[in-house]
Amino acid sequence: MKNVIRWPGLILFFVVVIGLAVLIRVFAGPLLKGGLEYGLTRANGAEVNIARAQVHWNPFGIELSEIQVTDPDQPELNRFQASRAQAQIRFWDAVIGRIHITELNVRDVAMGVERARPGRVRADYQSEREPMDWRQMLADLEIDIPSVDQVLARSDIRTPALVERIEADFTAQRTQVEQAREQLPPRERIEAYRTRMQEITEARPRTPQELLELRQRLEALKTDVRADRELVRQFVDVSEEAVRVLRTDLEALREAPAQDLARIRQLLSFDQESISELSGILFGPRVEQWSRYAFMAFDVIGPMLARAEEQETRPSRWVGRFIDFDREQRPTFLIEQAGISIHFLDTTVTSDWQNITWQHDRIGGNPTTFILNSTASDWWSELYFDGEFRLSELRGFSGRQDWRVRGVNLPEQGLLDQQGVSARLLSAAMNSEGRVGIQEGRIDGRGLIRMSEVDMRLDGEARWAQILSDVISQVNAFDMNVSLDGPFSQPGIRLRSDLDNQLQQLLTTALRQEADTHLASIRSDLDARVQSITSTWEPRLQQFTGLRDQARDQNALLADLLSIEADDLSLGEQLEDRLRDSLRRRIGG
Amino acid sequence: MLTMLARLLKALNAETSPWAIAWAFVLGMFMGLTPLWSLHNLFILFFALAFRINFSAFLLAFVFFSGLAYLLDPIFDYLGESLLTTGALEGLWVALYENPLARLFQYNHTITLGSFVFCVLFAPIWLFASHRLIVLYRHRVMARFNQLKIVQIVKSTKFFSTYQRISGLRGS
Repeated sequence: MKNVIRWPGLILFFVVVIGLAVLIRVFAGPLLKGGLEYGLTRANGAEVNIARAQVHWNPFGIELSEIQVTDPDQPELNRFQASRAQAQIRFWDAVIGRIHITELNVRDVAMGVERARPGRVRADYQSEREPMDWRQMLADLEIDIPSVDQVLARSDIRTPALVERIEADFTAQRTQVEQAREQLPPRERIEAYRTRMQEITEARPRTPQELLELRQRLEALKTDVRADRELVRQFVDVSEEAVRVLRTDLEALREAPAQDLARIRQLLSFDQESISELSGILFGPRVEQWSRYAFMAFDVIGPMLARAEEQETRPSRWVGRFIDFDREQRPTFLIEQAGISIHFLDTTVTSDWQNITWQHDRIGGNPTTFILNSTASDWWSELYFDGEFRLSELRGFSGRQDWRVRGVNLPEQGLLDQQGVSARLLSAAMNSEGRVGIQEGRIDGRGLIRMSEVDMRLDGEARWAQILSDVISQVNAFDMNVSLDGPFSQPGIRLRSDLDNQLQQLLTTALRQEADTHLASIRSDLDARVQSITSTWEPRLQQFTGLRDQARDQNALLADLLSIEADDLSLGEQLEDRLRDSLRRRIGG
Repeated sequence: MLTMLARLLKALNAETSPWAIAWAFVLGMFMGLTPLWSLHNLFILFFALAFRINFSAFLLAFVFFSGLAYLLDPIFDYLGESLLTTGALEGLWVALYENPLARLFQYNHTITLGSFVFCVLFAPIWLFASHRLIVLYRHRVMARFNQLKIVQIVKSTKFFSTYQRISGLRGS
């Protein structure tokens, strides 16, 4: 035996093994810290820091302090941070590489918090989304509010041109009327025609010779009347045209100043297109930050679980793989119960989670569920979030989330500070509700954010900022429709808000108020021009109308005279009877 | 490394038991061919330290087989996967899966199981082959070997002086 055993070697072995065990026991915390930081950094894609890690041996558990998870897309921010995380873990499961946490408590979770220094991003990290740069869009908008002078310079005031055209029209019409009037037969001649016709029609011829003579007089009279009637009719046509033109033009002239002012006002309306994205610029980053809280499950835990799953199944001939013989289908990672307290608006709310894993098929298809239900506090009257998600080999990542938020008192916060323009939300009350669903890894949903009792302030050097500053303080309520679409880990957020419409209307009103003095002066000038021409031509129109009416009367009279035919003239009745008897005797009747 | 090689030559040329060297080669093969950070290698190390086998031979075999393992890993992976997916053995694997100790030995890892089974099967052959080669070396090769010009050149090198220094220290 003495020859077989090498005692120094045996002693050295035990010294080394026991020494290692003691070292592991003593330095379990730092070792765990290093291991977790390395593993979580790989899963997250950017630096993960843990200030301190402790291992509790009986009952077995770990405790982590000051956890900071860098946002790989914005390394200066933590996508997630917590002051303390405490987990009760099944020891023998952990020994064989199966993480089964019976209870997890995470305190003071916060998201989007600025880091002391930017975190390192792994070289192999690939963002799944182009970050939406809300602030860049401010420059893209090229907001330009024109001055009143600019508007007047490009406004098309038509009244003066109309005055000139109408004056020329009037002069031409007057010339034509006067020329036609000079051709009119004198009134006395018309009266003479009537007298002559009266004599002819009242005459009682006693013989056919007298009747014949009378008819010849009638034809001579009608020939005279026809010549004059043509002149009268020409005057009627000319005067009717003149009255029509004058009447139409005067009517157009009276309306011209109002139409010009309406056109100027139209130009003073603010271009809605250029302001349609302003609400997104003002509230986009804030809504994005709120959504980080609202979609914490999908934004933080979901991607990490999915990434962990991807890393788990990567077979290689050179490194081998572990084959699973778990016929009980137990998950390799499971947190049965978790309480996560979230630090939000200087208050802490706790969310309850169940079945956090990426192997939902192994827990009977039960989803990971989470619920946050907070009753009234100083900051809100109701806060309710609930949802579930599951990772399935068949259906991929799927889930849903509903939320309902009532009476949230938003504290003062910055909205925008860019390009010499700063905007702050001084106070507001917020209600919101909505639902998002996830199918095959894609998120799709929408929600409504109702802001009331809004007090906003905007400062800036630009002229548009100064005008906007005045009008934005008049907005006290608006709605924002939020829609989400895209990969669940990096959903794109779109905002549509009636704030844009309100601002557009208020800006237009402000512009018009600014322009009112100028517009009154323009109106007065245009009215004076119109008044000048109408005062001249209104009596002319009356005159033309009178002349037209007289000519119409004369024309009617002459038409009556011409309507009398030669057949209308006849012998007297006694003569007719005598002629009839004589004719009867001659023919023997 | 030179020291270690010198010690091996010393062991081969000295009266160290051929079995002690052969067992060292076997244990070195186990540690070299199987993944280093496996629990069974703790036992291999225990045997190598606690029993009177030639530790230099063990370390050199470990280094040699570690290099060879990089080439053989795909074969071990194939062998391990074949064993682990054999229907007849499924009951055994399933039973072992519930045993934490078996899981610590990483029996369900394809390369670990494949390389370990290969070592177990190859160990007797390698043990006796090593023993036979050492004996042959001592009886037939060593005398002729010493007469070779190349050996004489080697004897004039720093390596040989190291070898002699170690021999002198040991007083043999």
